[in-house]
Amino acid sequence: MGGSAASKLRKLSFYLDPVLIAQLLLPTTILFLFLVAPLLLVAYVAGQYSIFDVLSDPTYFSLRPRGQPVLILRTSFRGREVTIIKVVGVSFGAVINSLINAVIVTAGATVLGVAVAFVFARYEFPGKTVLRILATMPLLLTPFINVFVIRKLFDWRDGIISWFVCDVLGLPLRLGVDSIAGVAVAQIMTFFPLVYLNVYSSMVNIDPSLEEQAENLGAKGFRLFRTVTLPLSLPGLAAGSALVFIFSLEDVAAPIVFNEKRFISYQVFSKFIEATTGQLSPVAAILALILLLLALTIFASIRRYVMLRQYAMLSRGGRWKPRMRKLSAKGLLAIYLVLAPLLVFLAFPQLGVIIYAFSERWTGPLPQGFTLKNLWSIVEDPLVSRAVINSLTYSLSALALIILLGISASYVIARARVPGVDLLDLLVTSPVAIPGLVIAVGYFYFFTTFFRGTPLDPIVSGPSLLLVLAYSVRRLPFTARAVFAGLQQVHIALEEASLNLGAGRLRTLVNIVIPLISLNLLSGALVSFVYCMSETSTSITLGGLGGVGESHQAPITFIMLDYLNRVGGPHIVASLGVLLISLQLLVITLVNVVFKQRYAYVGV
Amino acid sequence: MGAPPSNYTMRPVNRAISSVVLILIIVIGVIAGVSIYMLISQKPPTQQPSKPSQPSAGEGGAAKGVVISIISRHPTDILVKAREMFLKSELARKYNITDIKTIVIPPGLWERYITSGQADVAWGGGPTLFDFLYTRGLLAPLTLPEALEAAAQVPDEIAGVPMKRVGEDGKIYWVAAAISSFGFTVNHERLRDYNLTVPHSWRDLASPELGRPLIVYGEAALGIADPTQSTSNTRMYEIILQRYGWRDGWKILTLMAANAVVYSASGDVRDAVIRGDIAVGITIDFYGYTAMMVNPSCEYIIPKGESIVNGDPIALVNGSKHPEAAQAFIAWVLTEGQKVWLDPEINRLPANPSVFDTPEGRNRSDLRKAYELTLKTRAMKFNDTLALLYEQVMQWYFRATLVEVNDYLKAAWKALLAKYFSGAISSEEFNKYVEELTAPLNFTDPSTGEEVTFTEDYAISICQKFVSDASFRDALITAWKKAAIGKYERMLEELGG
Repeated sequence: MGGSAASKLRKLSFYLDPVLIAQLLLPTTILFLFLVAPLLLVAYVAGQYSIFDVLSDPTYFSLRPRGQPVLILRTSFRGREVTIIKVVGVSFGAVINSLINAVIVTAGATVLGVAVAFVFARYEFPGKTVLRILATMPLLLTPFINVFVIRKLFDWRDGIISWFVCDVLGLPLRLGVDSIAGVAVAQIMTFFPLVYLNVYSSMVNIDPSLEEQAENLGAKGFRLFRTVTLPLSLPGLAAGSALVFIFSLEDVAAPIVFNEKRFISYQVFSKFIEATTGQLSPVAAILALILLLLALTIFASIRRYVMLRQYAMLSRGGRWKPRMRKLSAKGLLAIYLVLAPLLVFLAFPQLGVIIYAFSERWTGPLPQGFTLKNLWSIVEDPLVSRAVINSLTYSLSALALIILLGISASYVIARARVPGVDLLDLLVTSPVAIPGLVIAVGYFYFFTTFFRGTPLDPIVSGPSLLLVLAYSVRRLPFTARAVFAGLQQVHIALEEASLNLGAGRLRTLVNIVIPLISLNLLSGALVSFVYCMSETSTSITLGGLGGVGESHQAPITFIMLDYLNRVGGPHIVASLGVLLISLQLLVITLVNVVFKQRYAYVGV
Repeated sequence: MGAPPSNYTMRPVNRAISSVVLILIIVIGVIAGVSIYMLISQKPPTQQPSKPSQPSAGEGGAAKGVVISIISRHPTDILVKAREMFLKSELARKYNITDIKTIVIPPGLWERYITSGQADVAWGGGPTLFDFLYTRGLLAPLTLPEALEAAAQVPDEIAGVPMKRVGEDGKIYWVAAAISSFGFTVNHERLRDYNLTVPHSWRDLASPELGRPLIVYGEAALGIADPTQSTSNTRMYEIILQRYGWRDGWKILTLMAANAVVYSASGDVRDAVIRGDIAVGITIDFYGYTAMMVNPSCEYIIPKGESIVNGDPIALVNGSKHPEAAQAFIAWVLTEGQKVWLDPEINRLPANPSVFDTPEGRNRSDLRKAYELTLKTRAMKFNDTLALLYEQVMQWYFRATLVEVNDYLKAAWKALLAKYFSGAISSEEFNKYVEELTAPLNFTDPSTGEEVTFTEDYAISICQKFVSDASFRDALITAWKKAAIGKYERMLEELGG
């Protein structure tokens, strides 16, 4: 016993040189201060209030559904007898609505994602590259304005679908999706690629011999898919659909655009906005806590797939040639007549954002007039250009911190065999699952309570610093993950050689490790950066605390929300959407083509 | 250990990459640090505080320019325009004002913003907000001769409504910089789509006729905003409560909410009318004028004898570091700066009518016409003091019973309308049900445990406590919500829906 304890201690002391200790302490301290502590404060504030008051309030929690899910109305509209079919959904109160919505969105996104992934992973056909690009387009983040376009699609009066069905095809039918159902549809359209990409990468990594054996034993068609392919894709499926579930819970853009208040996320958001005299309603804390607990529960179930250590196992593979089949004529027909239009439809919001940005007016079903004026206003409108500069500043500042924390944490997790490393791993990866709204509420309490009146008080100094910290914490996992994957591929012997030859830990890190993982680091940092630029939840809440003026401190996404509700504003918002799309495309190209790295498609 | 893999032998390159990465990190870090420092510390770095009572031109000498801060509820286009014009003005030169910083923040944060010494002038947001600031002692009286002279050009009263807040000390605490009326904006195209007639009074907005699209198209034709989020909508609800009296006022408000989509902010209502999401939206006048400019099928309507004229104030705040420069800006806004309102994208009515005699003013004969129409509009008698006595209580009661449980209210109203339109109930029965649905609530007062009715006297009696005691407020709101849900559900059951 004593001997083993002593040898354990000796081993431990090998790792605990000052550099490693610093690398361990830095991320731990920062994450504790700016992630754990604010979240604990949310729990504490929530504890001051009776949770029963929330649960007994039927507008939050009710077991009886309200409203009709689908309205079918036969009536005359614009001088014509038509049937109006409107899907609106029913309400069980905000808490249950959020849950049911997340389940529906996850199910919808999973069905779509698995189907698309299966076709792309198993079949070869002309035009596949184009369709694959279309399928990933919804992941190009264009906060608010893509939902704005989706709403335009589904309006039963002047929406594009109703216009096509009723005015172009001449059918006496008007179709619409709105309210709670609108939110679900918008989220399915936005989030399904998360499932598609995760399942796809699982499927191409399945050892082909497994499917071949099943075929030899007589399985084929759906049976083969159900009993072999799908179970083997489960890791990707679990990770993808769990992320969709979490993102659906915390998404606030779709409820805002659909003016649908009956969701937890909207309630937390609106309570934040109306924080009268600087006081946040304790109900906000309770709802934020519920949101956090739900997300963390889901996160715990997929932890295996997203934590750094396990992530490395998942990304391995691809040494064999995947099974690709040519499609029959019937199959090809199905692809071009069903899949292709479906993917165009799902990518339409992003295409619509681009059209919006370049059009003069889009009040009826179709846009009118081409203009560059909207794009120009990014430079010309002082509030907008200021927001762009702010976002760049915050994202770059956050990036410096992210790189420092990412390298430190990943290195410790990959190399140091000290107890508690798993905890650090958890701490670094968990921001993927922690709703930004909860972080915003936590920061509000944290900084207005403990730093009241100081330069760190957002109401005194504005939100700059808080946003940098929030971005750093929220977007750390992307860089940490990329750096860790790099470290996995670098043999430890290289470092040991350097250490044996007399270089210290720091020198080894700077001269050996960082150069070897520089491409991973750069890719991860770029991804972190681009998701900082498009960060929504904390930007639209904390971001507004300094107000709006020509020297304001609000970031891009705050201004996007702000401009959405002003005359002619949506066109400018769409221009900002185009800016963000370009930035994301640039980063994707750099990462995939120039650095030849995998691009981690996650983030809201 | 074997030879290292060949791709690891390029040491100098690796070292170079490593140095580049490190340098990048450091450079990014430094840039970031500096920019953040600049962002945070940019508040008052250029000027030294001047003594408030020292009447010298230009804030203690002309060495450095003065920058004044303005907190506002105005849309930013107004502020951008005003800044541009003001910095070129004579007054800006005289008082050595080199820049103005404008900032739009939610009304809830104004008090903290002012007490932390970050503001010089408050501009726009309606008299309610400014009276609140006044009662909290956050406003300072005008003292600068130019400002007093400018304030004198604004009429003391327009259509019976005070355009200045004069304190007990006889000093002026706020002055109206613009005037507004209240009414609704209709979208004629959508009205036609829904086969609706054009409404002309607040009562029309509460009619079962306007509720018909709920049944026929599953769509609310009206749009209103949450009073806790909109000072202009608050004012409109106060107008209705005074025009029709407490009992009938709440009846109209309740039915309006039943007919309506409730938006968060008043700007959302305007946009919804412009887009045609709704056929009618209640708006302040200039939202209506803007809607008319953007979408020609929109029209702003002032309900005759049911509107008031409001002065939208500007004021010097207590604790301003540059009270003279700040008052110089106020003087400018009340005189030359009135031209800001004439901008074709702003369209507001000036408080100082002499602007119509300038060349720019003569170009906006349409606005002058609107101004005269507003003056002539039979404004109703409005008791400002009374409105203030129950304001917060009214806002939250509205929100608790009409906004937050809107789907319960709507379900009951739709069931009632369906019966009425199908002829299953007579109009007497319908009216009886309407009375029941819209009667002020009976509920248990959480502080006394007694059953009470939400009367005007009750609202006034609890207002003080409601504002100061957060737990009382929360308990009351919960009680209102529960009582309202109970009433709406009972009605739905009675109607067998």
